Amino acid sequence: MRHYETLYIISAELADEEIQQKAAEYEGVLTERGAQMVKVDHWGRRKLAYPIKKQPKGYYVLMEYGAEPAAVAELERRFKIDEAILRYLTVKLKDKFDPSAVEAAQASSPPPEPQDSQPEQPTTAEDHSSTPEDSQPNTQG
Amino acid sequence: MDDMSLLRKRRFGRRKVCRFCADPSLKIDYKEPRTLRYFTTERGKIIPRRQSGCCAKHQRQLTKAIKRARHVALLPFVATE
Repeated sequence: MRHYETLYIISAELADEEIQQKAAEYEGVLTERGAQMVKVDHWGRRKLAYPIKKQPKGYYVLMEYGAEPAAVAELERRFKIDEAILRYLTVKLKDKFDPSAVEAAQASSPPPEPQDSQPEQPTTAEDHSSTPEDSQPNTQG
Repeated sequence: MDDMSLLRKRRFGRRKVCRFCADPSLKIDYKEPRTLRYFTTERGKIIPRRQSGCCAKHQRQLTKAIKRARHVALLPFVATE
């Protein structure tokens, strides 16, 4: 088991239920293959730093989990097929997954992430519906 | 090589210290565009080490993080005026 983190962007043009459905589906792809979820963060709709597929916004989901490499390969295979996935990025955090990380994340319900430097950014699952306009990456110049 | 001699010959001004070495609580994370933004020009280019003053280790991590952030559209590749 390795410790991974996947950030992916679902097209914000989909309806909210469809987005939730997709997010659950991809979580299922992992859990079906024996993955242990550490946390799933819905950042919600954010403005993209540049348009992707002519879309200015995207719905960000961050998953942290322990899984076998095969599970990640399958997840990414499906991401490639799905037109509604604008981007995805998987990063290996650790070579060995430590199951105690799961408990640690669940014990403190707001996950102990050093996210405090981004106060406006919705990091918890509850916030996702309410941020259609997000000031974040506005192109400067 | 050039950078090294430049640093030594800089007549006035203090030597810059790597911000990440100075403050271990600062994390380099592609998910934090706010921190990374400080190390890009307003056009979106990565600021070179000779200007940012980062040590080699952290500049490498920074570069990687910025490139990741660009891929997931948290940072722009180019910002047009």
